[in-house]
Amino acid sequence: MTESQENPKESESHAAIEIHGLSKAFGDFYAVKGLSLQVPRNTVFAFLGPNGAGKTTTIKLLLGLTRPTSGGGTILGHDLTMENKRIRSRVGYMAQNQQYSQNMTPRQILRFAARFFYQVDSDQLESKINRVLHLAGLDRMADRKTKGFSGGERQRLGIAQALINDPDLLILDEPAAGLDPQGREDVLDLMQSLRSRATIFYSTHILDDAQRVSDRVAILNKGSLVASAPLSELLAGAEGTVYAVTIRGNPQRARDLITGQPWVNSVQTMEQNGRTKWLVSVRDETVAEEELLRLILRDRSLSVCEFGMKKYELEEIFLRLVEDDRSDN
Amino acid sequence: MIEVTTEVTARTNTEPWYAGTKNLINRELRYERSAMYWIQQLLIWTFLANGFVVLFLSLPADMIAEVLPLPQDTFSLLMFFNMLVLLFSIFIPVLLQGIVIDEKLSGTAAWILSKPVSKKAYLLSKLTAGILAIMGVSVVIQGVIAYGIFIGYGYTLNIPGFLMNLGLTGILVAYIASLTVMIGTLTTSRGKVLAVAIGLTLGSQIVARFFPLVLFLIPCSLPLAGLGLVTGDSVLGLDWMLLSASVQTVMFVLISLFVFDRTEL
Repeated sequence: MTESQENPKESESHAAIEIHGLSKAFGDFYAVKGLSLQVPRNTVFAFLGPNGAGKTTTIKLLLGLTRPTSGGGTILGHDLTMENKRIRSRVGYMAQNQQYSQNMTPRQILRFAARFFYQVDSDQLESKINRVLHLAGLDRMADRKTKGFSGGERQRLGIAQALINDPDLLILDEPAAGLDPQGREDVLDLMQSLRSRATIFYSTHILDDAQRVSDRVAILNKGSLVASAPLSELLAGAEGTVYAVTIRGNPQRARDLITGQPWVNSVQTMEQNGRTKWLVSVRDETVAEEELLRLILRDRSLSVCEFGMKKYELEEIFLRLVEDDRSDN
Repeated sequence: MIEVTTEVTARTNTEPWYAGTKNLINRELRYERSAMYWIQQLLIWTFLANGFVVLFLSLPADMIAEVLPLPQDTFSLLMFFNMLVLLFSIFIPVLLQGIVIDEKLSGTAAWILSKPVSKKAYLLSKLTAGILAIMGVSVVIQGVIAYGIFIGYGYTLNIPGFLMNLGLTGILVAYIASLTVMIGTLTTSRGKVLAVAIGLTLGSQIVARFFPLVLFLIPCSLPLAGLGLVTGDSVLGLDWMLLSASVQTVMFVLISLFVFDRTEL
């Protein structure tokens, strides 16, 4: 039986991470300001933000490596400040740019990490170490000293040591940063494969990766949360459904016609290489699907080059939210 | 899809504050420095501490008597402990200056403390391992070599007295090591740690020539005061110096633990 099964308090909590009004100030400067966040269990949760947004400070607060100025919360049902050691026994953590002793091999580092959690030197433990080395793709270099390891190899080792205690929550600080495309691919695959048995909370600034593997996303800027939502919701955009239409010809008459429809919110116009691009935000997707293209083509002088529902990229949403936040301040 | 382990291995009790101490000490002693590093240390200490013993025991006795009116073996023994005190004042701060600072700055401390281990266990392990390693290389091994050299030159040392004085030397190691670690918890500057630790230990020996009471406040001359234990001479003030060293060592450790517990990583 695992510890989480034994502890009724832990199983009661549906969220792996639940924090309220968490703040961390260094003098007058707030690195994290009133952060409230809920990370459901068994999700891959991306924690995004520009450099200096407070992502690493938040992670350190979650691990009890730094004390909150105010606020609190629970991790796996345990109080953030009062039961920190219990939290750390169920969490796996990989720091950003972690340096490991150059005199140790990956196997020795995993053995060292494992001894904090498990009874020492059993055959079972050694086979666990072997499995984790295999999982992280470190089998071939398991007994080579880490001196001279590439960034990617160190990153794999970081993930391997974080997995050694079969964590219920995996906290990864920039897990794919500095990796080549294949290395990134491997790390993302690994994260996907762990999804079923652990909650993964990771910080990143690589938005493509976040879009690929995350279920939920939170965006932090200057220590404050600017968005937290399921990825699909965030990608749907704030304006509801938006159609992108590219046309050739004089668009004025068609534009007036469309703007006058009760199911249209707004029409945003951009000129591109002698063509006109519209972003038509609609209230009723079903009506728009049937009517929009027909209305445009009523003007027979126009030709439609492209028509389709606009798909937002996470990068677009991210930049807009961070930019909005900047102008609000 | 990559296979993920689900096997359950027997877990340790991570609740006590000292959980993980043995693992940490083991890492410090076995992996933090290479074998070559310790071999180099051993050679340096042997050359500096026991090289002088060989030198003074090889010199003509009347040449020694011109410098200090002491028997040649007593003079050589005095030089042996004198050299250890001098080396401790410089080498211990140099060796231990970074044990807290380096890991604080490199993120290793944060990594280790993300495991279920207390800050107390972490700091005490580093200090204990540092003291054990230095005592091993500089007190135990050098003591054995020195004893062998004296035997080789035909002198028989008073074994209980010699062992007791080596014990006092060990206490001095713990004193300077805990002082260095304490300063390391108060600052992130290696330079400051070195300057304060070396300044205090070496400075006290210079100031003591004018104000001998300083020797009780900063008891770096503990092994010299205990020389009488080996030679059979009186050991004036040794008990007070020992008390001072012990109390201060405990105080430095407590301050280190207090400060480090409040340190943000």
